[in-house]
Amino acid sequence: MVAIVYQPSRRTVLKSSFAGAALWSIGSSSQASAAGPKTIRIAMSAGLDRLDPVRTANGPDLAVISEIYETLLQLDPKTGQLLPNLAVSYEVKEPTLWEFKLRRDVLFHDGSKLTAADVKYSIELIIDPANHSPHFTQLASVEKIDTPDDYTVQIRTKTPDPLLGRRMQPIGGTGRVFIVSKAYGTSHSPQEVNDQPMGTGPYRLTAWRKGQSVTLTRNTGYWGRMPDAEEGIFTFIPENGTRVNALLRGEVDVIQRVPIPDVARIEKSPDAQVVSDPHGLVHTMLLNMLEPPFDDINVRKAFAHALDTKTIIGSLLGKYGRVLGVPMGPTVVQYDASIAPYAYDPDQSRKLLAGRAPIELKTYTSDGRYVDDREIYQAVNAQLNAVGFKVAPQQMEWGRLIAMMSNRTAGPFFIIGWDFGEDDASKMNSFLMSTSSISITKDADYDRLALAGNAEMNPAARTNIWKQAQQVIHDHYLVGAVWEAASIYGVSKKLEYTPQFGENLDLASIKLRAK
Amino acid sequence: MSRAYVFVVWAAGVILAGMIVAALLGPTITPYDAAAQNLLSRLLPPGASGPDGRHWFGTDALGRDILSLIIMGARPALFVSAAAAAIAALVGVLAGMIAGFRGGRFGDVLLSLTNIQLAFPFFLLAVTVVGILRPSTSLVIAVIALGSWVPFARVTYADTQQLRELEFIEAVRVMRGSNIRILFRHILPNVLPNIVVLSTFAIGTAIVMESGLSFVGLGVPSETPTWGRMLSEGRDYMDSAWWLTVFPGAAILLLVLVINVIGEQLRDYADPRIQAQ
Repeated sequence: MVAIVYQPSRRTVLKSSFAGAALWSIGSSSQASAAGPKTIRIAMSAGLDRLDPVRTANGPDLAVISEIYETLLQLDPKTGQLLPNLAVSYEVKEPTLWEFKLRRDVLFHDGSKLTAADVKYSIELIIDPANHSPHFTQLASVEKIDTPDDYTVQIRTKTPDPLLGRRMQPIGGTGRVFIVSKAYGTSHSPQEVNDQPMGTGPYRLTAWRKGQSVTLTRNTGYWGRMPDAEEGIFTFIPENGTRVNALLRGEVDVIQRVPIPDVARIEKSPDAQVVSDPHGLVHTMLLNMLEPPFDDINVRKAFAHALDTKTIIGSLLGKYGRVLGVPMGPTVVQYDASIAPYAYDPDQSRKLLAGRAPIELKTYTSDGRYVDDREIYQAVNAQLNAVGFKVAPQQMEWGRLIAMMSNRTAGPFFIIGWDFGEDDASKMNSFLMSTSSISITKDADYDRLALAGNAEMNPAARTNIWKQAQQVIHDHYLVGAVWEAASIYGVSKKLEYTPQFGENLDLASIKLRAK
Repeated sequence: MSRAYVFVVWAAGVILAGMIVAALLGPTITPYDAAAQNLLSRLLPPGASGPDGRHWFGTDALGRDILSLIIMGARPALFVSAAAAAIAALVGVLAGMIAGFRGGRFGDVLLSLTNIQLAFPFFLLAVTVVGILRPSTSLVIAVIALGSWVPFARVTYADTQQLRELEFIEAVRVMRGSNIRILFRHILPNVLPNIVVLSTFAIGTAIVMESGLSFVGLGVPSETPTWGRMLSEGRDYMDSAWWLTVFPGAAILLLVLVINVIGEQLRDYADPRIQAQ
């Protein structure tokens, strides 16, 4: 008997292994490819942790939370000013007294009316230390909240807090106040509130397959502008290449964080396009001033002038990056555009370091956390080595690196990115104020100005103080280099989306193109 | 052996010689300084010319010449794998000889150790060890050697057990030769041909292991990226700049291939001698 053995040709083997790989990657991305025409499928680059707005400040969490829940105010993307949202108006009656007047037509998803009691409850949850809220520090100035009637909220602060209003809009990471229902929160456990969130926003949660996808459905009783998409499905694809392929194959309609080398590929495709917001994360090259060698201003100066930041960012990020002279976003109200970035002057750096042995820098680097971070580190290290430093880098996984940053063992310098979407200079305190828990900077002049800035209620006077602070940062070489990178999204041509808040994706503002 | 295959073997020898020359001469024969970044001529395709001349294999994401990087990468690839294979051979042969000669409990212990090691997913262990400690050349060599000693031990053990029963060993014993003398003067030389063959395959495996460790960022630290590291860094550009991954990948493939071809030849050469014993 002859045994018939199937000998696949090499072509077949290649084809079937490619098919296998493709199937595998499809399986790992979204599962609902057969969706209605008014459904938008979004692939985020990181997974969801929780949907309780009191207990999280994580980017992907907030992207979904900000569709289900709302804030009292919102931000004008062009001017950085505060606009009404759930509150029709607000007034600073005394330096320590803020009054918000609420809309009267807002309903929660379960039909109950939004009242001042819900606002009071929401803030009290955040400032209750037992809840360990990541927003606690930024709301710590709140002393008490009064509700003279159902639609008026009065917040008394311990000391004048010019930023309380900014906490009432949804952009900026930690320090957000989303309004939750008191009735719902007190009659359900925190776990239930997390798993079945119930807010006033344009979308309701209809399904959450943990670790896989979240489905939102349009809230037909919404008080505000009805969004175009009836349904939004969020999935999570951390691997860059897979996420881009999912868009190109039509499995998802929107992706965030498009790597720059893939922009051309998406632009060439017939069904997808690239849209971007130039004001994404502000990247800072922080120097550890608490230890040698960067406790010496001359060494910091040598560092700053050794780097040709303009060429590095220009050639690696192209039109998606911009070098800045101060460590804050250009949309920040107090931004001083007159301070120029440090000039590229390697001769000056060499002179500053002349006569000493090459300064050894054992550093830790990230790879893939920020746009082109690996290449930026390599370019920077080469330029530092050319003037008298000796860099010994070690790549570290991001989770571990950020843990090291929080206890100040992350090496003499590193890159870390900040969301300045809140449009206020005080965000710099997280990394520049010596009392901040993760700060590796120590400058008495900066501390003094920052404290003054945080207590000054008059906006013009505040701007003046913060401009002085920016000059101090520049003159004392507190930060080695700064650049901002664009937030780049890939969007199906069936949709129209103009990202206006950097990395903060907003489903409700995505429009469906008329056929 | 067909004439075509003879040609293949000679070609393999020439390629291997070329790689060894590259490893030895390194920076002196690179067309450019491999570490020199030139951001203005980044991602040039193979054959394109930048302001500083023609780049036969193109340039990478930082403007470094890829041909120069490939040449520089031969040194860690060959050195690390040869060193790791040598250490693995040393440890494995010693352990195998002693266990095989003494037999009994020694043999059992050795066999259990090798079984445990073989059952363990080695790459996981390597990544863990190198990830916790700071990567250094000696650490990487040690870890790869740890993953490679088992075949040497088992082959030597089996061979030694066989040889120890042969008559000429009895003769040495009668002449009051010490055990050490027996081991090193009589058993080892007969085990050696197999060991040499195993070594060549071990070098091939070590190259792949080192590339794997470099790929995840845990390979030998070096000023210019190793071939495995070049593969990892080129991943983001696979669609827009294929030369970043294809050339280092081909280099790894080619080196392992020629080593295996030569190893097979050595094995064929070694076999008849053992038969004649």
